[in-house]
Amino acid sequence: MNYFPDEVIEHVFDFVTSHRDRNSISLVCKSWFKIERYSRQNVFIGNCYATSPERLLRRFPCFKSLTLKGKPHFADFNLVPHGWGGFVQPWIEALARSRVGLEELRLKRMVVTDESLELLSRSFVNFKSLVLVSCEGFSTDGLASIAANCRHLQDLDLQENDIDDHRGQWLSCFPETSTTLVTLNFACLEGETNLVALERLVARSPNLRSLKLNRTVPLEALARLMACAPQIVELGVGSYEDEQDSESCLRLQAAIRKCTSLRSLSGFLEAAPHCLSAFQPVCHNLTSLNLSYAAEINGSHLIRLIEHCKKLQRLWILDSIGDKGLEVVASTCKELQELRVFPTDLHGGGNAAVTEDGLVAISAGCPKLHSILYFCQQMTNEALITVAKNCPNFIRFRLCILEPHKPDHVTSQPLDEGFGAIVQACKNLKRLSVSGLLTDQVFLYIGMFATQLEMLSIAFAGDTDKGMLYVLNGCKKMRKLEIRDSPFGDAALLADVNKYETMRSLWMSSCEVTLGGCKRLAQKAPWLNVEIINENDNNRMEEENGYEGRQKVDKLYLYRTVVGTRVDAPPFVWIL
Amino acid sequence: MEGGSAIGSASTLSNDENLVVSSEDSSSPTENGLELRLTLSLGRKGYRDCRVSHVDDSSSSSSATPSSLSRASVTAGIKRTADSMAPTSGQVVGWPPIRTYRMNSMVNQAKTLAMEDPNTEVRQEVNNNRDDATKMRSSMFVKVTMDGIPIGRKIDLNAHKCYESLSNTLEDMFLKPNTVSSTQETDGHLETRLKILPDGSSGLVLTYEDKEGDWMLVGDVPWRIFIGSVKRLRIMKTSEATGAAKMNL
Repeated sequence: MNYFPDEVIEHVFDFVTSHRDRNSISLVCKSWFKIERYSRQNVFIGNCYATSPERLLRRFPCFKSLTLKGKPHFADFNLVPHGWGGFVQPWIEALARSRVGLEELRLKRMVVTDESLELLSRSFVNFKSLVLVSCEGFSTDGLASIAANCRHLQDLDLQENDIDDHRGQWLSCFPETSTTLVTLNFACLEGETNLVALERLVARSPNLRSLKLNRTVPLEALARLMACAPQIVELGVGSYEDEQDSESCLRLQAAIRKCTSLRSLSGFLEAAPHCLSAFQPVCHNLTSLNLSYAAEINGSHLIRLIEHCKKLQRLWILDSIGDKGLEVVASTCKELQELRVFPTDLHGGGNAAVTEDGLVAISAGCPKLHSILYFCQQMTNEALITVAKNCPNFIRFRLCILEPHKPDHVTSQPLDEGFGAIVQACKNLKRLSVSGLLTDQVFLYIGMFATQLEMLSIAFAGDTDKGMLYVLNGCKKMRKLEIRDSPFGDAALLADVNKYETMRSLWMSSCEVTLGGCKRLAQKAPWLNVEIINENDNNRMEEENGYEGRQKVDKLYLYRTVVGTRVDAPPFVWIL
Repeated sequence: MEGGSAIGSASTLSNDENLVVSSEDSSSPTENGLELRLTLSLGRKGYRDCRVSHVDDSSSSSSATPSSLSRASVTAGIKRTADSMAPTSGQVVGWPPIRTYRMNSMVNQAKTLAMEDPNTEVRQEVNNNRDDATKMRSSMFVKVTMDGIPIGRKIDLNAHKCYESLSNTLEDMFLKPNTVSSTQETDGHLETRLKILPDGSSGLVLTYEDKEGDWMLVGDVPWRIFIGSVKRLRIMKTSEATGAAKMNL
């Protein structure tokens, strides 16, 4: 019931920015639905195949910012074959044809082509912000179009994309009149850039806050760039190969001292071990530090730097920091909220870099910690129980024990009790990744206690279908479930078909589901796209009619959708 | 992964798992050249640990590491054990769960460092890591395109130790036996060195783009140096390649 004119309601809605809240608002009544849809500025589409560009434009004619995600999460680990899908071209074409005044496009795990980027750059006069995360399919030529044609470009943020670097002059394509840049992140490019053009661009961009360079930008250039941009807040260092006390080094140190706004440091893609000391003057102000690519910097240098970073909120680091280093973090970084520890030795070769002790130390020392990603070689239930007691505030808890099926290394028991303690204590847990030796029991705990859980990643875990059923029945807020190499089959898959309407997607690979089971699911749930990805055997699936019911499916990806079967699937994807 | 056993494409694990499954199913200790010792030990609460060690292993890594544990559920039986077994984390596709971008970055860093000043302590560490890296398989995916085929592929170069296995894999990927007329059957086998030989006998030649952006013929330099400088691969028609070669000379 509206007692206010629409404009007033719309003004109130302006204060509601989270898309989930806006989704809720739109369900209140027809009038609110209508007001909300015309006023929504930022649209978030978590699965590009759940809907279509046409439906997007029909519902939200006035949006300015679009976020699209394509491939499933496990595509990050090469589990989704090349060519599966996630093409942005149809979206850009549709938006270009319409009258949408697109200003921001954020894509994750999508296939972007130079053609798409060119079309994008020419179609939207006020386009300001392009953020590409884990995308592929384009080259520096596409970037050149963006640089050349987007007159008001503020953000060009390329994170971990696979970009074909033609070593061209894309940076020189920014016109001399372009002064609006706020974010420039090209750390993932592999090739040389035009350093002169880069310097001039930085020098004429007074609003530049975030600059992340790639590995081919040498030390001398870094020094000059920082001198041009003392207002910088986020810096991604490319290459830092130097002899100490060289002139460039001194100039860099002088420039760093002037960067009083610097709060975030990352990069160090090629870094000499002692280079960190140049950044000590800014440590006390740093809130974010990402040294996870700096494999050459050993633990002691890392520690010497971190000792001064008392305000750190976010730390991404390699396990070369060791348990001792994590203890230093625990005693220094009392504001720490997010920690990621990546492995240097990928396959458990022997140097036990970080263990359960490091994790316990962090949990004890950092009261504000709510997100953790921790790669390690060993874990114990006792440690996890202690962590749970110390830190009941976890929102994201991702533990990856490198060796699959590895039990508690002290008791040889499965890690069910440890993870059970985590889900029981952390009432706000939204994301969980489990690893190590796990039985159905851990899933019983998860189903029982993880009431807020939205995303769960399972690998090499569980005994029977019961495990998966506990999760599906218990976790009412589950949105994304991804499972690999676990013994869950048709019984679990088919138990509650309607559950999948409440979820964004389910991924199951190297499990026990059969083709027959998937077909039955597809029949029961026509509002799902049930995709079978079978790179090697797609011919065989159709031929062996007698046995197909029992034939195991290698990769299953299913997701709710309002637009039915997609038309761009490659031959090795079979949509039931 | 590569070498001895009859495994074709190195980019998926399914062949390896199938190999193990068939060994397990037949319950005979030696099958396909792999000897598996299966020992069951009873833990607490009747929980069973299943240890599987590879005695004669075609892959270089797992022979060095201790046997990995694998869950054995009594009800599910031996086959499921084999199915869900992961011999070593280094051999499983997509494990550990680290983004390809980061994996490639780590491997490249290890190589670069090893070529630098030999006296730093860092190089010692890196050499250890690099030895581990060559023993264990982190991925190095590069693009492969073939003239006339619009959709490219990706291949994990670290799955190979020599040009021959790379060539074999590329053949499996791009030249299916019943579609290409240029392959020749001799003694029932496909000619194996189709792409490496630049003499034009197959009409195709394998080239790569190196760090400096130049296109080079595959096979001239030792494998390790090739790995260190290759950015992507391209299977060209010989006519184009020789034309280009003439221009370079």
